[in-house]
This record gives sequence, structure tokens and C-alpha cells, in this order.
Amino acid sequence: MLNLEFLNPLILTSLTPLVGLLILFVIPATKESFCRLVALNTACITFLFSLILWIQFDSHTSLFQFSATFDWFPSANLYYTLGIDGISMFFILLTTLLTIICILVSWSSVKFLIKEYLICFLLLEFFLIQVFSVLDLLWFYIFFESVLIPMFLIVGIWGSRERKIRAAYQFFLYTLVGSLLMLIALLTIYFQVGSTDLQILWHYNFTEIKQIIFWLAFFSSFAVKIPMIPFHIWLPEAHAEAPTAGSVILAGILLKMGGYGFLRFSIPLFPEACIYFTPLIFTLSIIAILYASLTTLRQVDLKKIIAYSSVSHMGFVTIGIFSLNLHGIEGSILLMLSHGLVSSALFLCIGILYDRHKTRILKYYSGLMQVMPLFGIFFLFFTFANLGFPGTSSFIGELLVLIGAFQLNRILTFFASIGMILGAAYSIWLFNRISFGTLKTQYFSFFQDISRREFWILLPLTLLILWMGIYPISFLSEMHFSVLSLIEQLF
Amino acid sequence: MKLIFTEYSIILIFLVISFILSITIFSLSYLLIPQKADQEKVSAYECGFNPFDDARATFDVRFYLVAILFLIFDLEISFLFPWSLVLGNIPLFGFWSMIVFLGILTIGFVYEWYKGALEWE
Amino acid sequence: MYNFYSILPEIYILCNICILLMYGVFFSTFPSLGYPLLNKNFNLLVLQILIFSFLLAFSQTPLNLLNWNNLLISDFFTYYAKLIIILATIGWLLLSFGYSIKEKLNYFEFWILVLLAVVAMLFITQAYDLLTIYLTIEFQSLIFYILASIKRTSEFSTEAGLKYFILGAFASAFLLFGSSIVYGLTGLTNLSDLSKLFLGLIGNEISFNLIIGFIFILVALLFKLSAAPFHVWSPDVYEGAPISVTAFFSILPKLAILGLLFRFLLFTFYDFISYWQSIILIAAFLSILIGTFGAFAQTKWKRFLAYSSINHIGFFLLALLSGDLNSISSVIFYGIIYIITMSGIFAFTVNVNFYAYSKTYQLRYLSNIKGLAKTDPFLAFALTIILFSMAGIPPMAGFFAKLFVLLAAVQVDAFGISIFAVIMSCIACFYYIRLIKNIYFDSVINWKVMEPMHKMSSLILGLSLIGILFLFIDVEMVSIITLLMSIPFLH
Repeated sequence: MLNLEFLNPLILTSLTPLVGLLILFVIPATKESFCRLVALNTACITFLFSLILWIQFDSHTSLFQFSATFDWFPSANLYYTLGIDGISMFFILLTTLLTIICILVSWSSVKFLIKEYLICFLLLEFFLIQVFSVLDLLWFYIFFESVLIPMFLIVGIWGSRERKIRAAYQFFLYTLVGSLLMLIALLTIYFQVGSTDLQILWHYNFTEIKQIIFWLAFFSSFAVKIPMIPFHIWLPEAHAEAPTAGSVILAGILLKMGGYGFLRFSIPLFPEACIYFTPLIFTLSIIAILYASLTTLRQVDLKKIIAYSSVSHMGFVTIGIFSLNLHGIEGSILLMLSHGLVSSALFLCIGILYDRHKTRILKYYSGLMQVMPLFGIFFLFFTFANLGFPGTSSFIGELLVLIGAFQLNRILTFFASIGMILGAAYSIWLFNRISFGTLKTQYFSFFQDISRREFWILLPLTLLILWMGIYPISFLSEMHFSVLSLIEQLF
Repeated sequence: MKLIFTEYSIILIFLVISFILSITIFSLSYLLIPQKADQEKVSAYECGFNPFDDARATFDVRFYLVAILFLIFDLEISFLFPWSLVLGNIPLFGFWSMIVFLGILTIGFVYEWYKGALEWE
Repeated sequence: MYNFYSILPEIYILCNICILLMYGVFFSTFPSLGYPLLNKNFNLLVLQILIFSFLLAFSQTPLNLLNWNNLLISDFFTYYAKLIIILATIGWLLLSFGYSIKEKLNYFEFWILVLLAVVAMLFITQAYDLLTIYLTIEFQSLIFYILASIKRTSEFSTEAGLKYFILGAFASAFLLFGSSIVYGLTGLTNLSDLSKLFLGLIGNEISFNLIIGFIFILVALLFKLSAAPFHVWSPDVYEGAPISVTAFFSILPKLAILGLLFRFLLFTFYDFISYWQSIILIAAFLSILIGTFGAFAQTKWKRFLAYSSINHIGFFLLALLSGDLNSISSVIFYGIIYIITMSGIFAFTVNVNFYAYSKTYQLRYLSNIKGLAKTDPFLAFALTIILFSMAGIPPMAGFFAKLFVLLAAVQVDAFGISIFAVIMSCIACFYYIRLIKNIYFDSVINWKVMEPMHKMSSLILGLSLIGILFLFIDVEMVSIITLLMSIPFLH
């Protein structure tokens, strides 16, 4: 049943969070610092294993590497296959990196039920790594849904105010309804083809009507996750109510599951339906970019501003995915990675402010550059990254997406570029209102610049964003062949 | 189907006649009698006195228990009748199956005996 | 001689019942011993009897033969169903150990009735003739009527027993009436003779009266299964009966009566499939609908679990529509998971007692578990896992059960009802999440003091938890058993 290749770094990366989870289970909950140390070490070891994935990755082929197959249910022709290619490798790296950051962020801000909190995060990490590495439709669905459980608990238990319950319900039920329609489509595909293995399904031709129906079912699930307008309401609620680390992982990785789903499943399996529905996606994306940006301008809650700007950025991502050419798809993947870093960093900055002053309303913050200069510099850098300033990764991403879209449709590119202007508007305005101006000492009297732990959380993100912005070829070269083979499969 | 039911037609006629007869008697008694109820007439009779107490007594459940036990053992007897007629013809298996049946009912009997269902007071 | 071989476990249990009855009645009315209470003795004796009968049933070889003048059948299904029923009863016995001592259910007859009910259910799985169906169902129902009203000092219990008796007797009358119509029109009562009679008889030669008779029997069986629209008795009866008896009603009879329903519908009346498919469809639709919406308004545990099991029955009936091997095996698989889940949740509700000065209270209201996460974190975790499994969230076992049932429904192109079932499953998920919210999210002002659970019921809770959490590792093992169990129903 098992190939005894446990030295497969992918399996090691997948299993390390589980080992950490089991160790955490047996530690009594009163030894809080020991729990945190164990969790941090587990996350670091997982990150190191995933670096091995990058180092040993062969970027000159588009086949699935580090693959492993387990006989799960052979009599029903269902197997458990793992494998990575260029598209999924970076998501796994992002997951492991963000988990370390999340555990570090909650070092002192989570006060109760520490052990359960860390268990939820390690479980979440395990599920997320599996989402990005399984090559089987049924198992992708299982892990896609399983992610909901720890996230629901994180938002609901450690959230900040009473509205967290409503936010947790909305998050869970929205995603569940969308995913259940995908379940019916999955079952119909399994019944028709006889297997759910991805590589078998790639070579199966569905009829056009069936492709359209299946694509719509899959769309309902992924569109809620990304989120696309009009299924986006859960995102601002969930972000506003989640703890800082919850927001970081939600914005950083969970939204990318939707984009990954489109890339891995919708496009290769249903090519004609993709081409058929491209106008719909483009329309929804443009509405997302423009409407979400305009809504951002009106928000007063810091986290909601960043949440709506996430919706706007993911509009770019979907344009990139559905432009169906090399630049567009590479740009969307890079934009997803960069958004994972930038939004997480912005949520971290807001979390730093929240830890100190316990409020997220914009009106109380002003003139922070005078008392928190180091924080101000980081926040400035991330603001520029958010709006797509050249030199940061999101510029490269948006540039590639716009190049890809330009080859398809000029008007689309025109409207998308307006989105960049609006992005600049809300980002710079937010930064201005918080950092410059006079200090509002009638609300706050004590200020403190970022501590060493927070510095070391923000610095890697900064360096990564700079690296991706100045020398993106080191990332793009890995995914080149995989994206090329994806496009070839289409046409 | 018509052949079988000619014998039952007698029973049907009997049923109908008895039904009509009882309805006639009842309705005649209800319609032809002058009914002027007043308080003294409908009160309970207790040798001319005003009633001391409610005429109803609580139903003693042991009557019900006796009726149920009678039902069970009567059915046991009704099973014993045909068995006793053919006992010569059925082999040993038939004897022992009835003994098992009687044994189970005896266990039930012992149970109710010790539980006190047979105490009359 | 094989006549006796196939009912050997039943004969063993019956002999033991007689011996136990004598032992009980002799000793409990012995004045010089002080009229001892035999509760604990009986508990352990019944456990021993059940374990031995399990070993007896297990060591038989599964034969395929008709017994007792074609009244009973013995095949793969009966062999495994007997084992499952005896195992489930052992599980139920362990979880109600503590309850009967605590609630002073001192009648030793209770345990004798339980053993008789087990014998009845073992006979139900073997029934092969219309008369035998009636006899065994009456046998089981009569015992259940007495069990529902076993607590003589509670008027709830008496009311529940009375309601169950009146409605159940009415349903049994329907069963008898339907059987007599079928016998009157065909002259046969044996199920296999009937199936041979109907073999070619579709279309023009079926008289309408036969369908009427068939519908009466089907209605009676659906009543016993508490499928909608014949479900009205189950919330009231579950509510009034003492909770260990509710556990007994909920866990055990479903598999036996399902087996009977399979034999009746799929083996005998398979040629009438065009008639009963729409009836089962309506019953499944209504069950899922009523089970979902009925549980919304509930505030007490027992009624909530009653509506939840009506929901599960809807899923059972859903997979019955196609009538081929895979769908029957998916129903049996769902049945096994249902037994495991219900054992787990009843292990929790039967044995949890709260202490508020000078009295210990049973768990009655849904809001009694508020703040359970703080008082007993592991119990809260266990309850969360079981509730998520009932809702059908991966990776718990409940998801896989629903997956296979939906697969069976999709195979028949019943997309409308599948989508409906899936959406209702989302709505049902809401109230399961509401319970989890009660456990984890609320901030508790009055902490509840809980007594520790009885050791045996925590054993059952643990076993159920392991089953639910780790079933997905080896689904094949269970599916082989269910496939074997569903072979006899093929036409």
C-alpha cells in the first residue's frame, strides 16, 4: 500500500504539522510558553522542508514532481495522489511561511485557550498544504471543505467582538453552499468517467453542455472563495472580526485556494466552457476592481479597508487567469503570491496598531509617523506595494496581467488600469490619514514603536516583496513550463 | 366468489334484522316517552336520602389484571385442544415443541406469581 | 437441522431471558435477603449474554438458506446485520450503565425487555414472509411501547408510551391489512414466491388493488422507520421516554427495518419500481425537509436528535431510488456510520449531569452546553467532531456516508433531489454550527459544574470518535462488508 519513500519532501512537509499537532495534544494547556515553542518549531521545520521542495524542484519539466500514490479505495477506483508542479509549489511555500508569521504574531496577543489556537493553526496548515498538493478531485474537495472547520473556530473563538459569531456563520455557510454544488458536479463526473484522478480527467472530453454545467458548479464554489462580486460579503465581515493571525492566513492563503482551483481544475477540465464564460468573468472582475475600490474609499474600519482592497486585487487575478495566455496566467500567479505577502503584511501592521490601542476605527489614528517611525516606514513600503508601485512584486503581477489582457481586449485593459488609479487613491489616502497630521492625544496618550518580534515578522515580508519586484525571474522561471503546458492543453 | 357467499347471506340477514330491531326499540323508547327532567328525578338514588358520597368507586386494577391473565391462559388452552387431538400422529418433535410452549408460559406464570399478581387482597 | 442453526443466537438469548427472569423474580421478592435491587447484577449479566451471543453469531458460517418452512431466511445480510445489531446493543448497554443507576430505574424487567427487543430485531432481519414480517414487527413494537413508558413515576414517559402505542398499533393494523389484501389477490405470502409471481407482470396485468395493498404495507414500514410524512410520533416519543431508552430507539431498530424494507421493495416488489420510486422520492424529500426545518425551532436535546434522525432517514431513502448494488451498499454504509455517530452523541447526552447546589440536573436543554469548552475541553472537542460529522463536513465519516448516498442518487439522474438534499444539508449545518457556537464561542458568566462521565460511556464516546475521525483512512474495509451485505437484495 505505501511506497516506502518517506524521504519524499512533500510527504515530510505534509506530515510535520500533524506531528506537531500530536505533540501539542499531549502537552498540558497550562504550559503556555512550551506550547508556543513547540508550535513555532514545527512551523519552522515545515518551512525548511518546503524550501527543500524549491531547491530540488526541476523547472525544466511540467510533469508532477515529488509524486506519491496511496491506494485508498482501490475497488472504487479512488486513489490518493500527491504531486507538485510549478503552479502549486509557491503556494505551499507561502503557506508554510505565513504559518510561522501567524504563530509569531499571536505570541502575546492571544490570552486564552492557547493550546487549541495553535492546534487550529497547525491543522489549518496541514489542510492547506494538502489542498495545494493533491492531484485528485475528490481529495481536493475534501481538503477544500476541511479548511472551513479550523477557520470557523479561529474566527469565532478568538475574534474581537460580538459580531464575530455572525461573521463566522457567514463565512462557513457561504463557502459551504457553494462547495456543495461542486460536490454534485464531482459526483456526476465520477459516475461518468469512473475515476476522479486529475491526470485521467485531463484526457477525457466532456460534451459542451456538460462542460458548461460542470463549470458553473465549480464556479459557484471557487467564486465564493476568491471572492468575486457578488459573493464577497463574507470577506469584510470575516476579516474585521478575526484575530490578526486569522486575517493573515485568510487573506494570505485561503483566497488563493479559489484561484488555484480555477487554474488546476476549471481550465484544464472544461476548456470550451472557460472560453464560453470568459466575458462573464471579465465583467465580474471589472465590477470587482472598480466597485470594491470605490467601497474602500468609504470604509472607516482599517481591516475592512484592506479586506475590500483584497477583493479588488483578486479581480485582477481573475482577469489574469481567464486571459488564457502565458503572461496573464503567470501574472495572476505572481499577483496571488504578492497579494499573499502584501495583504498579510498590511494586516500585520493593523494588528500591531490594534494590539496597542485596541481599536480599528480610522478616526482615532493620526500622525503616527511622529511617534512610530519604524512602523511608518514599513507601513509606507507596504502601502506602495499594495498600490502596485514599480519595484514591488504587485507591480510585476499587475503588469503581466494587463499585458495578457491587452492581447485579448483593449477596453478590458482600460478599465482595469482605472483600477490601479483607484488603488493608489485608497492606499495613499489611508496612509496619509494614519501617519501624517497631528497626533490625536485626546484619544491616545501612550505610543510604542514596533518591538523586535514584530520587526522580525515584517522584515522577511519586505525583503520577499522587494525580491519578487526586482528579480521576478527567479519565481517566474519555475512556473514557466507548468503554465505553458496548461495553455497547451487548452488549445 | 359468488358460490362462497351464499352461506354468509343468512348471517347478513340476521345481522340486519337484529340491528333494525334494536334501533327500533331504542328509538321508540326515546321518542314516545314524555321526558320532563327535574333535579330530584335525575339525582342518584340512595334509599330516599340525599347522597352522602360519590357513587363512583375507583376501578380496582386487579380485575383488569385477572382479565388479561385469563386471556393469556385461555389462548394457551385453545392451542392445547387441537394438539391433544393429533398427538398420536405427530412425531416426538411435535410433543417437545408444545412442551417448550407450555414451559415458556409456565415461566410467565411463575413470574406473575412471585410478583404478587395473584394476591387478591 | 439447519433450521435451528440459523437461529442459534436467538435461541441462546431466549433461554437466557427465561433463566434471568426466574433469577430476577425469585431474588427480588425474597424477604430474608431484604428484597435486593438487582440492577447492577442484571447490567453485567446482560452484557455477558450479549458478548456470548456475539461470539456465537460470529463463529457461525454465513449460509444461504430458507428456514422454518420458508418463513425465515439466512444469508449474508442477516449474518452481518445480526453482528452489527448485537455490537450496537453492547455499545448502548455500556453507555447506559451509569444512567440507570443514577435515575433509579430499578426494575430488572427493563433489561429483560431490552434482551427481548434484541431478539425481535434479530428476527426482523431474517423475516421472509408477510406473516413473519407482521409477527416480528409487532414483537419489536410491543416491547418498544413498554420501554417508552418504563419510568412509571414520570408522566412524560407514560404519555410517550401511550402515543407510541396508539399510533404504532394503528400502523401495524395497516401492515396487516395490506398483507391480507396482497394475500387475497395473489394467494401467496412468501416474499420469494411473490417476486417470482411478479416477474413478468408489468403493465397490463396488475390490478390496482394489489398496488393499494402494497402501499399499505409500505406506509406501515415507513412509519416504523419514522420517515416523513409518518414521522409525527418520533419527536414526542423520543422526548418523553427516559434518555437511555431514546438512545435505544434511535440507534438500533433502523438497520433492521431498513433490511426489511430492502427485501420488501427491492426483492419482492422490484417490478413495481415505477410505482414505488415516486413514493420513496416524496418520502425522502419530505423527510429531509421536515428533518431540517423541524430541528431549527427545537430547544431540547431529545427532540433535536429526533428531527436530526428524521433527516438521516431521508438520506437513507434517497439512495434507495436506484436499487442497484452500489446504492444498497451506500445505504448500509450510511446506516453503520449513523449507528456510530448516534452512539457517540448519546454517550454524551445520557451521561452528562450538571450540578447546581444540592441537585444534579440532567442535560435537557440545548443551551445547557454553553461554555462547555471552558469546563471540559476534551468533551467539547469530542462533541464538536460528532456534530460536524452529523452535518456532513469532511474529513469526518458523515461526509463520506453522504458522499456515497449522493453518488447513488446521481447515478439515477435524480439531480433535482440531490441538489435539494445538498442545500438542505447546508441549512441543517447551520443549526449544528449553532450548537458548536454555544460550546465554544459564548463568554460564560455562570460556569457549570459537571460531574465526570461514567467510565463505560466515555469508552463508547472514545470509540465513536475514533470511528468518525479515522474512518476515512480505510473506507475499503467497511465497504467490503456493506457490499457483501447488499448482494442478497439483487434481483
